[in-house]
Amino acid sequence: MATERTQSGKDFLAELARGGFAESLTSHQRRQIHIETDLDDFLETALDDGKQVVLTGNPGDGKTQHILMRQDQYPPDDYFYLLDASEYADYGDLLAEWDDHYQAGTPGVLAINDGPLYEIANTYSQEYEFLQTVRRQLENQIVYNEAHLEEIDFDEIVVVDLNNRDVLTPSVVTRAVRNFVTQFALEGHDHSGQCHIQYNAEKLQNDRVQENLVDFLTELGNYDEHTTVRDLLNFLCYIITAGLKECQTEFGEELKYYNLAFGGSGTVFDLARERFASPQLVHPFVDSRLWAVAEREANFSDRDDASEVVAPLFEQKKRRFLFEDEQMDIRYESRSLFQNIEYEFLHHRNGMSTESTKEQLIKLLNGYFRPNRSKRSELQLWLAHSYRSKSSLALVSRTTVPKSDFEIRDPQLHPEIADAISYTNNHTAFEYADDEMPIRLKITRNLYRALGALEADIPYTLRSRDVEQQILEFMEEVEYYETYSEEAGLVAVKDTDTGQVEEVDVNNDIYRQ
Amino acid sequence: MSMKLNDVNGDASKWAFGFKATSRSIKPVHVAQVLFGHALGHVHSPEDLFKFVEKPAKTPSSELPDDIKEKFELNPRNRDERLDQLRQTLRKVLANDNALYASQRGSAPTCTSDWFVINPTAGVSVGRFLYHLTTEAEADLDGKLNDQLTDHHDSISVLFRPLVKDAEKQSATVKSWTGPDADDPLDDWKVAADLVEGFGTLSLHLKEPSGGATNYPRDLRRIVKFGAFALYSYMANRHNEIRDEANARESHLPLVFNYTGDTDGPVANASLECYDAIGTAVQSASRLGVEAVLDTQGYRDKSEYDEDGILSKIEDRELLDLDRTSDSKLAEDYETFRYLFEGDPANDVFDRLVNTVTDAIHQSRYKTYTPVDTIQTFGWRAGIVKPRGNRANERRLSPDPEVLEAILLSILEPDEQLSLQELCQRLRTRYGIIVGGTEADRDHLNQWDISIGASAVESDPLSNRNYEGFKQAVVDLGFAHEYADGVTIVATTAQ
Repeated sequence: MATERTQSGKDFLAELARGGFAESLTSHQRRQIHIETDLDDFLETALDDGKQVVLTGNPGDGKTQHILMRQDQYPPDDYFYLLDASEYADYGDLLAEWDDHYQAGTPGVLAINDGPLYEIANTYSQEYEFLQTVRRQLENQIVYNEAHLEEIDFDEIVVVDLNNRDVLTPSVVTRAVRNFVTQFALEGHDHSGQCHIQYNAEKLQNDRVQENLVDFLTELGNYDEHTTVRDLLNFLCYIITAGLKECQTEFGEELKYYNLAFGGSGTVFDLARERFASPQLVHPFVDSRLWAVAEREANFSDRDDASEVVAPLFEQKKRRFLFEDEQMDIRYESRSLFQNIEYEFLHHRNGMSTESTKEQLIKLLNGYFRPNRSKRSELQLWLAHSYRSKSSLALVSRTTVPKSDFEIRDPQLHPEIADAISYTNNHTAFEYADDEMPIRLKITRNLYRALGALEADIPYTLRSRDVEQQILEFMEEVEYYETYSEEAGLVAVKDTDTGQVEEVDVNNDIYRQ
Repeated sequence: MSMKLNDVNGDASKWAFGFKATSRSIKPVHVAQVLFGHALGHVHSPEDLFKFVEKPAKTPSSELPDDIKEKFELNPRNRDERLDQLRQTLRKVLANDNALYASQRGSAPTCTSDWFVINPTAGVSVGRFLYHLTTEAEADLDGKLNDQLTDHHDSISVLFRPLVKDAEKQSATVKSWTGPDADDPLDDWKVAADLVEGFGTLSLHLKEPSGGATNYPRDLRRIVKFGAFALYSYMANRHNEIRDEANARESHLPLVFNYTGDTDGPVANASLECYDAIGTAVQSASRLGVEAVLDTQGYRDKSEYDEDGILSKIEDRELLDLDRTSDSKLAEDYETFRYLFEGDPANDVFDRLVNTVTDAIHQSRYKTYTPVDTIQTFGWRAGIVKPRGNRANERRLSPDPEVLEAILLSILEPDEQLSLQELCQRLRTRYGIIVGGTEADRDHLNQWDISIGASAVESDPLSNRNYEGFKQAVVDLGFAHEYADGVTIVATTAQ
């Protein structure tokens, strides 16, 4: 569109900060904002190989952008592109067109949000055989064991679910920051003095600030929340412009990037606020120094009012410190704040071997039921059984399963799409390997934290029943597949009121203790 | 002949529901016991077990029979003390369902295998009804239950093995469910037909024998949880199914499941209205039962039971057979009855009598425990309504995740995938469950004069917040996954 071509860089950024996006961009703008990733190469290779690639995911994941970016090199006359499945009122029409191209062997890229794609694959897979492949690929985007992959055809169609793409990685974030700050923010200013956009852009050009911003965003990526490319770009544009096209030459703290980073609306801002409010971001030395600086600057006559006056100043200082630690020179790095965070074994097992991780998990799971007798070598299985609607008075256990029957499995992308996107797993699977079907307990951040907290001796009655339910269901499932004697066993009974455990040895129809 | 209110209450229940839902003590574990006993065709009499798990305060371990004591190799110096301790702990396992009593009457230990299935005295006719539903289902539920219950690998069976293994085995008192006199409750359009189908679908999810062992107590719980819901749903819909066809509604009685987490607000209030409507419906079904019973017993005969005749029998204390020893209490009972009779607005004397008897049996003073009381108490014991407890009031339909799981497994076939909206539609049409996911929700509620009020602070909380809460509950069970564009796919294999 002509008007967009004449937009200055900063106006364009302000538009993007306010959510203007995707299909409305000119091809020039599109190229300018494009962040090159492995997906570009993957798509081009697939098109060269004559494949159809189905890009699925959420709105904002960059599906359309990738199609439009391909069209110069791979013209729509020769390739099949589907920009938006929702344009079709009737999926029947879409599928008829898709099927024609599929049968003709036309390579292409199709952008379909995951919801409609699942619906289509569910409803029409009897009619269109290729949808069965789509469905199986959808269900196998993430695999736990490369040695036992289902046989799925990837020769003609490849589905890539961008929900699994980790956008907040150092390489993507670094490219995006450089792109926006250097290409757009400093264009189109016709005023004297320095406006808020120039201020923010200049700050963000500083290597150290940029490095810290990358660290900060990468840290937010450790959360389970899915972040789209659009979320990231909105965030970056907003912290530069605050969504304002008009330059503000007289501006206060509220328009500075480190405050804007916590003020916008969207996934990244929500994560930033959540992270910043987290008690884990408290650092005794950093906080006390920043508080002292804030107190010196604050103007209060009555000591009793001090905290009210100092607190907002402290908050600003701490926000600034996250990015400008070097400039503020309080002898700490902002990175030191993040070092308190439990990275656990999900991503940073501190060099622990798989075996040690497995043992650690078994110890934690055993410790949930018997805090002082938690073995690492075997998992004790507990059963809660009643028909009423209330938690059990007693749990029973007579089975232990050796650690060799379990595996730690890190979810990963199916090998056929592993080169397409970067993926960071949000859980680890504790897997009981049965011949028929593996049984997995997903060790998520929450579950791990709950198990870890038990080491602090939280009384049994105060523990989360949801966590217990999750573990017990896993144990009950495992027990079903275990073979053991029905005549003898060491049976433990845990009184859930008192936490006491009694053990009785049943053998030859006699009880021994 | 004078009238025993308790008998009329029981007979009316039998006429309307096909069983006497007049037991205060019925708990899910009683239902489990009857259902399992019928499926097995045999029960056990684990006398040693019952002696052993008696509270030591009642029967000290020193007084236990020698043959039980001999089953324990304990240090002789503190043998009885240790035994006391062990009994306390082990007792808790069997008492997990809070139905293990000092006397065996009404007692029902929790059960994971046939060793704990006894000849029950509580919930017999109710359990028989549920068993009938399972046998009507096109599935080998009996076979699967037998496989599971005759396996003794589970930890509870092993734990009590020395005390139960040799217990006397007898044939269970298995009787066919004869059904109510009112109608055939399994007609296509009635809820029991949907419940039969539900048991059939649920059975497809039950585990098959695997390796040496087949025992999977979770499946047993799923059957009982669904059975509990089936009983609740069946009783709630009875009145509509047996009333005059002209007045009958075409849909099942709505059950608004409250997933807002509120105890106030439009959805919570609608759920409360449903709960009340269930009470009213069950009472109305009982009233039809009372009418049928009194008719059979000759109370329609105006020559004896015209207004004067009835009043004079009240005056002479001949109308009712009341179990009172105190004359003043007896006088009060009659006075209350007379007051109810005289105050009833019906024109026809027989109708007045029916109304009066119905009102009387629903009053606590006559010590009758009605189907309404039964279903309300059973509802919270089974985890269908909240809050729990005898003293709670203003209960709402808010099922435990385990109950919801069983309901979902009863409408979703293995490997089937469908949208959340389709799931909601099935829940509504099959069981009357409303969570806010279908366009017909409001029409359905309107048909039953249940209103969803407007909220001053949010738009359409039933279709928004409640639906979202329900969706989250299904996701938490591992049965659903949310995708873009508001699509949520439900499948049991998502677990």
